[in-house]
Formats: sequence, structure tokens, C-alpha cells
Amino acid sequence: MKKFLITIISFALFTIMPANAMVTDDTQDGHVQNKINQIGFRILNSNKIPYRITFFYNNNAKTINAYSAFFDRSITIYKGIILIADDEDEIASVLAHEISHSVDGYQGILRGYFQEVKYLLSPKKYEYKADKRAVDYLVNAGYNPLAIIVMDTKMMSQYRYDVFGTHPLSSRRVMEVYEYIYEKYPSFLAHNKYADNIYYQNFLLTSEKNRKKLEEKIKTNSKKRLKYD
Amino acid sequence: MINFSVKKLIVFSLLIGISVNSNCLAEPKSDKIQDFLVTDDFVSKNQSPQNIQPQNINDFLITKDFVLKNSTPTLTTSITPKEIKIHDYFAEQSLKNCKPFVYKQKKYDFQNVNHLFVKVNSTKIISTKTPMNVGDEVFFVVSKDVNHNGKIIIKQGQIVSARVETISESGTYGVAADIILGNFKIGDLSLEGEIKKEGFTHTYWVIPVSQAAGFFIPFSNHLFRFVHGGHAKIKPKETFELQIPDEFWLKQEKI
Ligand SMILES: [Zn+2]
Repeated sequence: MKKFLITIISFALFTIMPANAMVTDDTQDGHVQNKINQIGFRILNSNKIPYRITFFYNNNAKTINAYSAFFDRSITIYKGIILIADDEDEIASVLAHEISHSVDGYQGILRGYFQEVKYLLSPKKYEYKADKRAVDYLVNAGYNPLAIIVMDTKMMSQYRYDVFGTHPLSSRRVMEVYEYIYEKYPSFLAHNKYADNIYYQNFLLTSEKNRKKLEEKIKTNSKKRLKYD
Repeated sequence: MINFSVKKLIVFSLLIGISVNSNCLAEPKSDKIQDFLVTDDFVSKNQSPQNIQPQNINDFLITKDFVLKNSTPTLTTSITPKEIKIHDYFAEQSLKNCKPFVYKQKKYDFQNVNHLFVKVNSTKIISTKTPMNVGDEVFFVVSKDVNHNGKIIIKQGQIVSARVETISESGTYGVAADIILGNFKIGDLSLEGEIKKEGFTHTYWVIPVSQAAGFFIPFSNHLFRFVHGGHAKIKPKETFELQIPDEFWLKQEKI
């Protein structure tokens, strides 16, 4: 009898549990996909971006990344991003950056076909551009653009040099974003909702020298582009 | 892939009687999202109202449960003890008179396909060669009267102000610089649209030449990385088109 009960129980466990687990998993993925769509389309609509861009959630948790595919201008965002994001603005900041790449994918001759070549050849230029456009997109959609700095602090590692890399040094990227916000949307810095955020605090800690450079530039009214460390 | 999981969802929800849609049908918690809705009069008049608004993001991030249950209360992202708080003194001081940002979503109607445009030319050469900052003001002039129902709405010669939105310097392998201008205004009237301009792209010859060079002298192709593209230039003789907001001329029509 005991054996029989154990068999029944273990049978129940093995049959019901995986089924339940699968439902939870799918429901969860569905919700995240929904949320990503809502954030993404909110950015597209409130910025009046007249191009078709789609968003796909990839539930691979180990990857902390997102990308814009050139052939169909779709955007994929990995679960890793969702796991490290602490608020909606932070997820929006990643999407806004990728949307900027996708918008570029529509520009130029042959419906943007050659844009891919340009991206491959001069990727850093487009990274800076995407970061700046992301700031505009976020502000126009009602999000806080400082979320880019918070998110970058968490997810972008620091290489030693960027001469031959595809992306600029992370410290340079966040500083360019900071400078752009300072010049264009200073209210967000004057009333900084992330002032106490530990990641933003870490940005302040690691960007001291660079912020000093910017301070000098602003005080001397210089128009030269700064080379951040 | 997505279709497949939706199907799976439906099958399982039928099997165990869980309504997976319950979250989507719930009342919206915030009415702020209404501001983002693109109005479609035809649909709203002919359909029953639907609530498909998103809720708080935390409701959706079930994945965070583990973290929430297992983290200690002191491990939060938004509390920094006073003793170790780092201040951004320069920003705090230099921006102390800055008012908080007030968000206002522009109202627009994608149903409307009849728009009025205004043609503009720059007053002088705008080039990425001259040092410029984001936010700098540049000027255009209206090059043709704008008529609507036999009335002139905007006169030729009126000055249009604009702002440098982004400048992106030229890149490696001949990729050109580009500039985006926006925030166009005639007096108080904001015009819709942007002007994007790209410099001359050298990539089209740089790539074949660098490949050929690399064939004859090994690694010499890498030298072409340092060939930069041209500057973006907007000349006074180039005409651009910007859109007059629909509300503006609809108002004129009523008068
Ligand atoms: Zn990017």
C-alpha cells in the first residue's frame, strides 16, 4: 500500500509539477513580452517614428544584451536586461537606444541597405548617435533619460582601449550621455530622481575626472568636443 | 516562437482553468498612459471601450520574485547613507534654478492625412566643420507663402529658428558626419519635423581601394581605417519641408 501511495504521489508530482512550471514560465514570458511591447510602442508613437519596428523578448537569462537586427529592423531584448533593470525607465532606456539603430536601418539608399555596411565600418559613431537619440526618445515618451546612465553602469563593462573595438569605451559613452542631458534637458539633473541610486552613485564616483573636464568646458564656454577618458 | 507559446498558453489555461489574461483585462492603475494614445476617432466611435493598458511593471516581472524574497531589506538601490553619499556639486550648483521637467505629450491624430507644409532655406551655411554644440540656435527663412483656402497663413521671408539636436562626427573608413536639426519655430508656432543631413561618404571607394592595396602590400588596407568621411553641410540654396501642426490651420479655418 505504502509503495502504491508513493508511486501515486511521485507520479502526481512528476506529471503535475512540470506542467505547472511550464504554464508559469509561459505566462511570465508572455507578460514580459507584453510589457516590452508597451514600452517600445509608447516610445515609437510618442516620438512619431514613422517606421515599422518590432520587439521580441528572448528568455535567455544569461545574456545581458539587446540588439537591433539590420535585415528586418526588429529589436531583440534578452531576459538578462529584465533581470537587472529596477524600473520601467531602465528597460525603456535600452529599447530607446535600439530603436535609434533601427531608425538608422531605414535611412539612405535602397531602403537603408547600405546603412549596415556603414555601421560595420564605423560602429562607434553610431553608438554615440544612438545614445543621444535615446535621450530624446525617452524624454518625449515621458521617461527619465538618466536611466541610461544607471543601466549602463550596471551592464557595460570597461575595456582598456577602444581604438579597434566596435563600441566606444563605456566611460566615454556615459559621459557623452551625461553631457547631452546637461545641455539639453538640465531639469533631469537639477531634480535627479536617481541621486541616491547606488548605481548612479557609482557613476558619480567613477566619472569624477571626466565631469571635471565638462565643468571646465561649460565654465569657459568652449565648443570643442571633449575627449573623455 | 511567440505564436507557439501563446498557443501553449491557451491550451494549458483551458486545461487547468487559469485565465492567463486576467492581468491584461484589469483596470488600469494609472491614467497617465492615456496621454500616449494615438486617437483614432473612427475606431473609438464604433467600438466598445477596451482596457488594454499596462499596469505597474512590477506586476509583470514575476522573475523578480526570487530576488525580492531572498534579498535583505538593506539591499535597495535607492538608499545611500548620508556619510558615503557622493554629490554632483557642479550640477547641483549650476542648475539650481532649473525648474522640474513637466511632461506634455503632443496631441496628434494619425487618421488625418491632409497636412500643410512650409518650405524653408537656411540663412547661411550650417556645417559640422565649424565647432557647434548641441542646443545651438540656427536660422532658416520661409521661402514660399503658405496658402490655405485662398488665405495666406504663413508669409515668405518669415524667420524660422531651429536647434542643433545632435551632431555626430565623421567616422572611420570614410563614413560621413551627420547633423540633426529640430525644434523649428516661427515666433510661438512650433513646426513639426527634423532636418537630417549627412556629409559625403567616402566608403564606396575606400573599401575597394583598401582591399586592392591589401592585396599588393599586406596589411596596408588597415591604413584606410583612418580615412574619415565628409562634413555635413546645409547650404542656403537647399530647400527643406516642415509640417505645420494640424491644430494651427484648423483653428484658422474656423475664423
Ligand atoms: Zn548600440
